[in-house]
Amino acid sequence: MNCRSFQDRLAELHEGKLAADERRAVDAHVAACSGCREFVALLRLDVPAAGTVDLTSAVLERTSGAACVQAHEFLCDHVDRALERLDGELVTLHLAGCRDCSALAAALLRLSGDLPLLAELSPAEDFVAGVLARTTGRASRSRRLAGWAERAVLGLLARPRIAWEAGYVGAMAIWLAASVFGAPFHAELPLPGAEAPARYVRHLRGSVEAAGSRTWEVAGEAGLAAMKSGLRAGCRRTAAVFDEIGREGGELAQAAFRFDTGDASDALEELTQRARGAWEQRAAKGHENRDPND
Amino acid sequence: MTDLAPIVERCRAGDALAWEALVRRVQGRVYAVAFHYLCDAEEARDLAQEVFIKVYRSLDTFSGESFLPWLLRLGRNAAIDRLRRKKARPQTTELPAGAGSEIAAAGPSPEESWAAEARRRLVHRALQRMSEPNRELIMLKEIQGLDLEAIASLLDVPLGTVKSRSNRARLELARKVMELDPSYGST
Repeated sequence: MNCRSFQDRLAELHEGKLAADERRAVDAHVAACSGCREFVALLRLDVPAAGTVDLTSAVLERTSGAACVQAHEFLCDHVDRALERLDGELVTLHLAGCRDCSALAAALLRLSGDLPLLAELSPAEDFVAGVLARTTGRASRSRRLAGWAERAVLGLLARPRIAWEAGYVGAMAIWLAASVFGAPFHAELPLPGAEAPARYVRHLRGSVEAAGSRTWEVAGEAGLAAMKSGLRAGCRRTAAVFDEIGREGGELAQAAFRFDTGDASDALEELTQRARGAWEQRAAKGHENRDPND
Repeated sequence: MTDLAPIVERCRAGDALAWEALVRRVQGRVYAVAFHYLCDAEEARDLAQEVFIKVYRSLDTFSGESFLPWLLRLGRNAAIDRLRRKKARPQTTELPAGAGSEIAAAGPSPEESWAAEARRRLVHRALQRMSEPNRELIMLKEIQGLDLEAIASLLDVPLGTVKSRSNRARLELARKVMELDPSYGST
């Protein structure tokens, strides 16, 4: 064996992978060659870890500089295990050789567990009672009623024929008002303007006075008594109708609030038919010549 | 925190029992947010109550989004409004006595619970030393657990900005904690 073939086998010699006969040849050459003996001595030296770190720092200092700044940009994601594999390995290698960055990473890791402990603080034992006193109770009842009324109104408005039905109800309301208050609503309506109400009152007073005078002229005391009697009877009949309409109107309202469209529709139809019938009856009789006994 | 959506729906329907349950479930968070901004236990309690009143009155208009970010947004806006009226930065303060959450108190042993409480107070002191924007980011993301999208919407800043500022905030806090206790993280 010569020096060249010995040096070709140095790596295998260091790793202990030489075959037995090759090992004997190497040993024989080393015994005879001082230069190759020095190579073997170097292979057997233990290199201290600190030495490599100092070497790394020295090299970085003379080349790219310390990598801490770049490592800090990755530290949070590294702690969160959100880095790509290669980036993670690079950061891990840096942390292994940098005490400051390693401590910073440890602090970040600890903070990720400690910070959520600050999410909730206890205000006071009576805090909930104070909030409830200012929110629920009367406010809750009115809130429920408001919600109930809103749902009822929205349910009515969602009906397909609500415009027709609203028109019927409106006409019925106007007819009822006309029936209750009688003549004044058949008088000339006041003209718009600031003095319209005063003009209306004067007209109303004049109409009542004229009606009273005319009645006395025509019927006298007997006629007045009969008129009073007729008015009482008429009021009783009106009240009876009112009761019926009130009952049916009440059924309508109840059905609406129950959101029972079937019952509500039936009640409304009944009411509008009665209203239409009564209107036609009045139109046929003619209200100007109506018999006070009716 | 388990899903609050079913409880919130009941509250919207006027269920008083659900409202009480909701108040009990989130009172700690609302108070913690108020205390973070105001740094005063009494004022924070008062503000927390006001926030709940607002929540109660606004339940009709709440729909579609996640409840917790909406709640925290209400709390944050209320706190900032109050700070603007006061026109003075609140003084730093310690955590209120006895204000520890059940999580911190539920350690495996008394020693560990005590150690966790000590670390909690240390972190709170470090938080007080941070810059306000970074402290708010830590509070919203790391403490209250809002995701980056919710924070970006709340603060009206781009998502990328929130992420990079969030990382810088965490590093700042870690350094502040280590200034107070160099062994933090190693124990």
